[in-house]
Amino acid sequence: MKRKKQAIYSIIILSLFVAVGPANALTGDEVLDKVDAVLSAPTDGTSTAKMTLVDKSGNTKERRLQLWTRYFRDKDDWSLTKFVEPAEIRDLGFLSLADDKMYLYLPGFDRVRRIASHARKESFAGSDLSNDDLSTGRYADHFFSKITKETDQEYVLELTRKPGSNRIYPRSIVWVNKQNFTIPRMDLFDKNDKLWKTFEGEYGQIQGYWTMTSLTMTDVQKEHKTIMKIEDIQFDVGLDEKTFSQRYLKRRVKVD
Amino acid sequence: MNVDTAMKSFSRHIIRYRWVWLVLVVLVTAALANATKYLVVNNDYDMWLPGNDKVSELYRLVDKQFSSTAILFTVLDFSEKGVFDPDSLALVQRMTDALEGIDELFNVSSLTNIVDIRKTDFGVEVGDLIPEIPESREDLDALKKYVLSKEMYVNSLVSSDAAYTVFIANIDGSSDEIVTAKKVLETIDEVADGHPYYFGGDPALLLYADHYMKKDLALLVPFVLVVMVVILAFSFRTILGVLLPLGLVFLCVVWTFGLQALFGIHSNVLTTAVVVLLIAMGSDYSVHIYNHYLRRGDIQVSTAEITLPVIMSAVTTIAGLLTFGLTRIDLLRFFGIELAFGLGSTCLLSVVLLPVCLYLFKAKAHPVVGSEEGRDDAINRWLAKVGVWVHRHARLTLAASLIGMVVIGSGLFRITTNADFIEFMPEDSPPRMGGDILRDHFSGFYPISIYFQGDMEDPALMQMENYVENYLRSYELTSAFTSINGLIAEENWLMNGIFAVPETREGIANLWLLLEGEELLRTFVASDRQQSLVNAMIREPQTHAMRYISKSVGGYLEAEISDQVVRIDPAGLSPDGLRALRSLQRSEAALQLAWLAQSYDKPRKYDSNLLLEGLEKVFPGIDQSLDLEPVWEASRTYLDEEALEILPPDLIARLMTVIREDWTKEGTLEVHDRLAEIITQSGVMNAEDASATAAGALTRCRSALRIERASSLRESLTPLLSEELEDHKDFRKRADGVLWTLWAEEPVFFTSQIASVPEIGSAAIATAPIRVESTGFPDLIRRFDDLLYISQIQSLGLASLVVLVLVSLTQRSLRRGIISLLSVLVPLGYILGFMGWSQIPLDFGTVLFGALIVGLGVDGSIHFMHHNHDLQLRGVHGEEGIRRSMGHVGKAIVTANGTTCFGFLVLLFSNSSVLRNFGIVNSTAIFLVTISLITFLPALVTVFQVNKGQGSGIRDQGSGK
Repeated sequence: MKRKKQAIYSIIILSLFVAVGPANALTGDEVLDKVDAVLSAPTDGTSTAKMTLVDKSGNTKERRLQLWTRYFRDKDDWSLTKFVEPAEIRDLGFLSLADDKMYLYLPGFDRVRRIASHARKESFAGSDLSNDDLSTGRYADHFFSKITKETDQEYVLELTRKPGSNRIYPRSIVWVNKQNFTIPRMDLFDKNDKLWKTFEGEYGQIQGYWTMTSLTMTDVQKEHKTIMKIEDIQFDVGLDEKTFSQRYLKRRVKVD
Repeated sequence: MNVDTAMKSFSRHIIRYRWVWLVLVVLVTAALANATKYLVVNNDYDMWLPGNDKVSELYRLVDKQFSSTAILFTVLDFSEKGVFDPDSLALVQRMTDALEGIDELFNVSSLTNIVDIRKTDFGVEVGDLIPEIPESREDLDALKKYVLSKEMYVNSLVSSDAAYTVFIANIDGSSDEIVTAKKVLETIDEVADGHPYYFGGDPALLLYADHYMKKDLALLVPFVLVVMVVILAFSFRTILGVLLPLGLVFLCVVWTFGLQALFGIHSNVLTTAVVVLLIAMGSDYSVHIYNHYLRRGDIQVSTAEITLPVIMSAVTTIAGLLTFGLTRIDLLRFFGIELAFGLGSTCLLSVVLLPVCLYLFKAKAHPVVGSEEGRDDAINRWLAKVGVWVHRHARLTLAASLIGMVVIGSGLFRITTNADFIEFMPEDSPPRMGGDILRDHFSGFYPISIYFQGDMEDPALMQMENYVENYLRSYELTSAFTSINGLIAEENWLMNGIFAVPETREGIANLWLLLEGEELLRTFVASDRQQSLVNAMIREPQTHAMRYISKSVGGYLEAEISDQVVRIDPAGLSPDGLRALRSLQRSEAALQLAWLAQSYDKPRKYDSNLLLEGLEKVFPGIDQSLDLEPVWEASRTYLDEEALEILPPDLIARLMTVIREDWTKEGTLEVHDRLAEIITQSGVMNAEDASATAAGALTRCRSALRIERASSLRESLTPLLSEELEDHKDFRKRADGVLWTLWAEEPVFFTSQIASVPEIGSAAIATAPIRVESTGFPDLIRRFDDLLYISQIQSLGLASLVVLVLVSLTQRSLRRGIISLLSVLVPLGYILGFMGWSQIPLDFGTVLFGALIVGLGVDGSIHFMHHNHDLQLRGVHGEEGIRRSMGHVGKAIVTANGTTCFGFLVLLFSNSSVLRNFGIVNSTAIFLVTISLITFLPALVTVFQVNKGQGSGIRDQGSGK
C-alpha cells in the first residue's frame, strides 16, 4: 500500500516521458527499469482530456477533464483532476497525494471528503480505468518481468505480481517500444488468469518528452471501453504545492 | 349413405387395403420419429403467460432490462464454525473468485467482494467489505459486529445468527439460464468440496425442473407400462391383448411428440403426465375394439359396429382437452394440445391399424350371442346384477348420489389455490431446500419490484421513488431492498449526515458518479437512467400471501400514485394554500413514518394519524427547544477547514459572532453580505472568494439546522413509538430523512396528492412525467392464480357444453345427452368437495381435471347409452336392457377406466407434488365416474325412461324375471 491510486492523468505518466536510447540485450527487469526511469522526467504537467465511455450496445457518454500533476522521483506523485463536463458534475474533483491520501470534492454539497479507499479494482467514475490503473509507482516495485518475445521493434514482457504487492493484476503482457520505451499495448489478466482488460496507447513527442496522446482501455469481460484523448499538454509549468491542497480542490474550474 | 353403411364400408376398406395402411403408418411414424429431435423443452414459467398479457408484458420487460429474475442464490452453511471464522471466510473468498470467473454472470455479490461505504473519522471509505480476511479472534469479532450492524448485509448476505452466508449471482440477459445455472452448480460443487451448501433462485428452478422431468419420465414410463401389461393380461389373458394396445400406444407417443415438434409446441413439466396418460388412456380405444372383436368374432362386423362409438369417445375426450386451448396459461394449453394430439393419434391408429393387425394375426375370438350377453364371466355377471339392482332401486340410487354430492361437495368452498412453480419440485430437492434456507435465514428469493419510468436523475422523481419504497417497506413480508434512490440516500447520509435523496440534480449526479461502474446497479437502474426499480424480496411463498401483496400494492399504486410529479413553490400560494400544503407535508411525513415504523418493528402496526397528531403538536414550536450548538459548530468547522483560503482564528471568531447573533434574526442575504465584507476587508482573499466562503458558511448553518430540526422532531415522537424503535439506528436514520423534507424549499408530490390544496396550480413550478407500476413474483402468482380459477371454470363449462352437444347429436336426443353429462358431472362435484376437505389445492396440475374428466368419463357413458339404445331398437327395454347393457359394456368401461385410473395413480410416484396431486384427483375422479357409470347412469336411464316408446315390440324382459 506504499503507492496508492492517484488522479486520472497519472495513468498517462506511466508511459509518458521516455528517454530514447538504444536497447541492447536487456533483461525483462532492465526494460521495466528503463520504462520506470523515464516516467518522472518532467517536474510537473497540465492537460485536458476528453473521456468517452462506450458500452456494448455502442452507446456513448462523454466527459471532459482538467488535469494537474506534480512528479517526484523519491515519493508518490501528486495529482488533481477536475471534471469540466457534463454540467451536472462540473467542478467535481479528485485530489490524490502521497501516503494513501485521496480527497473528493462534491460541488453539489460544497464538501471535501477523504476517501481512504482500498478498492483498487473499483472503476474510476464509471470508466474502464480502475483506481489501480490510476495509481502511480514504479512497475519494478510491483512486478517481476520476463521477456517472452523480442523483435526489432519491441519487447514483449510478461509481468507477474510480486508477493505483497497490492496491484490488482496478477499477470499482464506488456508490449514495450524499443525506440522510446513507451507502452503501446497491455493485456491485463484477472485473478482467475482470464483476460480482463486490454490497453492501447498512442504517443507523441511534446516539449521533448514522449507522451501519451490517447488511450483505449477495454474491459473485455464487460464489453465496455473507455477512450481518452489527451490535449493541451504542457510540462514544467511551475505548479506549486498549493495547487494540490483541499482548498484548491474546491475552486471552480476556469474554462476558456 | 347412413352411418351404419359408412362404417361397414370403412371396415371393408381397412381390411382390403391393409398393406397400404400398414406402409402408410410406418412411413408417417418414421417421419414423425425423425421430427422429435427438434422437440424443445421449456420450463420457463414466466413464458407461460401470453406476450400481450399486461402482467406478463411488464414482467418480461423488467426481466430483460434488469435480469431481475435471473438470480442464483448459493448459501454456504457454516452452522458449526460460523461465518466469521478464517476457514469459513477463506472458503467464501475461494467461492467468490470462482464464481467471478464465470463469463455468463455479470455480477456476483458476496461478503468478500461486496462494496462497502463506511463512515470514518475523516470522511468516507469506499472499498470491499472484507479486503483481507482477519486472523485474530478480536478482528473477526469486530468484523462480525460491523457486518451484523448494517441492514444492507444482514439477512441479505449473512444470516442474523452468522451461521449462513449467501452468494448472489446475476446471469447476463444474453446467456442461457439453465446452462449457466448448471455451470454455477458445478463450480460450487467443486469449490465447496463436500462443504454443505444450498442452491436456489429462478434459474435453479429451471435447471431442476428439467432434471426432475427427465427423472420422472425414466421412473414413471416403465412403471405405467408394467401396470398396463398386468391390467391387459388380467383382462384379456392373451398375448395379443397385451401387445397390440401397448404397441399402438408406443406409436401414438412417437406421433404426439413428432407432431408437437412440427407445430413448435414446447415440452414442459406436464409432459411427463402426457406420456403416462397417453399410455394409460390411449389404450382405451384399442381395449374397446379388441373387447368388441372378442365378442363378435368377425373383424369387419366388429370394426363397423365399434368404430363410431370409439371415435365419439375420442372426439369427446379431445374436445374436452381442446377447451384448454382457450386458457391463457401456455402450460395448460400445451398440455391439452399435446394430449389431444396423442389421443387423436391413438384413436386413428386403433380404428385403422388394430383391425388390420387382428386380421393379419388371425386373433382368436369367443363370440357371445343374443340373450347370452352379459352372462359370460364373473365380472360381466356381477355388473349385470348391479345393473338390475340399480334399476330396481333407481330413485334411491339417485337420491343417495345427490345427497352425497351436496354433503361432500360442500368442501368446494374450502378449495385453496397454489400457483407457485416451486411446487413442481420434490420437497427434498435442492431448489426447495435452498428456498427453505433462504426463507428461514435470509429474505427469501421471490422478487417484488416497483418499476419506474422517467428521468431518474431528476431529484423530484427520485424523491418520489424513495417515497414509494418507504410504502413497500411497510409490508411485513418484504425485505432486502435495493434501489438507486436507496444507494444515493445512503451516500448522502455518509457524506452529509442525512438519509435523503439530494434536492438538486447536481447533488444526485455527484453521488451517482461515485457508484458508476458497479455492476450491481444494472439490476435496478437502466443505463440510460430512464427506468429503474425498487427491488425487494418476499419471504413467504404462499399464494394467498402473494395475492395479498400484489393486490394491496397494485391497488395502492393505482389509487394513490399519479403519472406526474410536481414541484411546488410555496411562495406562489395564498395563506390558506400554504397552510394546506404544510398540513399535507406533515400528513405525508406521518404516513411515511408509520410505514418505516412497521418495517423496523414487525409485525406491529402503526397508525399514521397518531403520528400526525404528534407532529402537529410539536412542529410549530420545534425551534424553541432546539440545541443550536451543532449548527454553529458546522459553520465554524467550515470556516476553519474548508474555506478557500486559511482564515486566521480571530477572523473566524468575528464571523461566528455575526452568524450566531444575526443569522436567525436577519435575512440570509444581509448576513451573507456582512460576512463577505468582513472577509474581504481582512485581506485573506478576494471579494469573489469571500462571497463564496460566506455562502458556504451559511449553507452549512442551514443544512445543520435542518438536520437538527428533523432529529429533534423525531425524538419528540418517541412516546408514540415502541422501545424497539427508540434505539433502532436504521429507523432513526430513515425517519430523520423523511422529517428533513418538511423544510424543503420546493416540496415534491405526486399530482394526485395535491389535488385538495387550494390554488395549487399557480405554485406548481415544474412537473415531470413518471410511470409507476408493480411487478415481480406476487403479480405473476396472482395472475396465474386468477387464470387457474378462470381456466377451471372456463374449460369445465366449455367441455360440458361441447360434450353435451356432441352426445346429443350422436344419440339424437338432448335428454340422453344431458343424462350422459350428468353421470360425469355429479362425481366431479364429489371431487371438488374432496379437494376442499383434503386441502388439495387447485394448482397447475389439478386445474386440468375438470375438462379432462368430462371428456374421459363421458366415453363410458356413450358406450353404455349407445348399446342400450341399440337394445331398445331391438325391442329390449327396461331391466333387461340395463342388464344386457351393463353386461356388454360394463366390463369394457371398468377395464378402460381402470387402466386410466392406474395411469393417474402412477403419477403418485412422481417427484412433483403438482403431478402427485394431479394423479390423486384424477384417479379418484375416474374411480368415482366409473362408480357413477354403473350406478348413477343406469338409475338416470331408468327414472327418466330415456328410451320409452322407441322402437317396436316393447317388452320389459326384466319384469318377468
